[in-house]
Amino acid sequence: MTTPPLRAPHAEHDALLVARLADGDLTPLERSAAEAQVAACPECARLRDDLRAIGRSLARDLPTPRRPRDFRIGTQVAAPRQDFWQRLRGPWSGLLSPLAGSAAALGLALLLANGGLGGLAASSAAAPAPLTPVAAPAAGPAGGSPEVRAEADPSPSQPPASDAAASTSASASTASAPSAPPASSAAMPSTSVGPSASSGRGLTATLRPVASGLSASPTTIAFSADGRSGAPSPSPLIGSADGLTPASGAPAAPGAFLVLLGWILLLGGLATLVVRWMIRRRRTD
Amino acid sequence: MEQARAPGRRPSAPVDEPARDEQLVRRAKGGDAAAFDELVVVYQDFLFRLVVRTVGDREAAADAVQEAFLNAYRNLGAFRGGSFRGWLARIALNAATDILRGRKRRPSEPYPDWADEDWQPTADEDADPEREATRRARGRALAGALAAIGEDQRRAIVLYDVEGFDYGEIAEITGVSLGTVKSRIHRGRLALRELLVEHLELFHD
Repeated sequence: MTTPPLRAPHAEHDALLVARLADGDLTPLERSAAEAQVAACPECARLRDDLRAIGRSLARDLPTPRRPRDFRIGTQVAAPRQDFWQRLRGPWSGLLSPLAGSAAALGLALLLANGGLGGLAASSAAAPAPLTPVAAPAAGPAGGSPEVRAEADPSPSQPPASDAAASTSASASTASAPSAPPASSAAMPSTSVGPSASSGRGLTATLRPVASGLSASPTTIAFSADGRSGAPSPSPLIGSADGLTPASGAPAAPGAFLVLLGWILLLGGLATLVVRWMIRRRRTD
Repeated sequence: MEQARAPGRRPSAPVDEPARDEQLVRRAKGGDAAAFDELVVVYQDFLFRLVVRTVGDREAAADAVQEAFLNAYRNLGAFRGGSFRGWLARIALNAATDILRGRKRRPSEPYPDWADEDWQPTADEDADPEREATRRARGRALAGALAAIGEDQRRAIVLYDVEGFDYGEIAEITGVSLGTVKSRIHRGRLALRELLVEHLELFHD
């Protein structure tokens, strides 16, 4: 919108002079001329008074809009932007390392108590060796890695050892192979195999993990005569030879779950500790 | 040249304002976000009042003020001293111009909510009811006239008569010459007087 003219163009100049007079925006010479004009013209004097009154009213009476919100920006951008590693650190981060270490220790304890470490070694070192009386000869490594071998193993390659604990009870009719005691019961868990007491047609395999010098409760797995379905005994420590999965066809045994849980805790705890270590190293960079 | 002020004109700033602002700006430049928020607390009412009276659109004004504070924080290093209040005003008015230009529309009713508490005149508890009613009527007439004049004149008058900036500060804020600022103010006042000719008795109590 343009300024509406008050009067004719020449009169507008006078109005501007009065407006400047009202605001005190005049040189002394201009001021003298303006005051003379106002003194001679009542309309100019009223204009001056009106303009001053409007100026006062602008400062005092204009409605005041209320701001709709708080414009502080501290929560928006003021905080320095955190990178990925910084975001990983939080108020809970102080508890992370102790929790991770505890989880790893608990996992390791579970694995040791349930033979999970030995089972993994056996399964990774050779093809799975099901604990069946008719199983192929266990091809366990000659080294000291803990493994599970069946005492009914017919393999002749394993030299007998003088171990009292390696007494063989493989008198089952289906296990006609000559007994082959483990080479060293100190390094390998022993397994005794005998006929199933319940049916008389199957086989019962008892695992005694003695790997790493740690003893654990024996694990007893009952097998049917065909050697395919393994019915676990009431023993709480029941698992397959690889220590990770229950015997074929058997429901998940508590021991297997404990082994699985142990691995989860151990690996999860170690992974967390590694991440924490990377965060600390990044912070010091 | 006489630099007299219109009667009743507000002082442009408290005495200790520059020192306080300088200290807060220095802290904010050093990364103290709380110091900048202190500046926001000091100036947010002023800035929203200035912008909404200039653009007449509360929504656009709020967006412009928020954008102005964000821009000010991001570009705090460009502030070389002087009036922080004026620096903020320039950023906010530029942001408001950009926002309105982006929306490609103007508010159809720049000062729409007279009955809204958000637009109530400043209360004067000591005034008698009749004087208070006159004052409120004066304020409404004035706001309506202010919304009807040209944007440049309105901006100059709000900065000068309402917010108390002097000619030089307005020239810096608006980016025009001193003579242009004076011309806008004087012509704008004349335009207001022409628009208020039916209500002039309200202004002579």
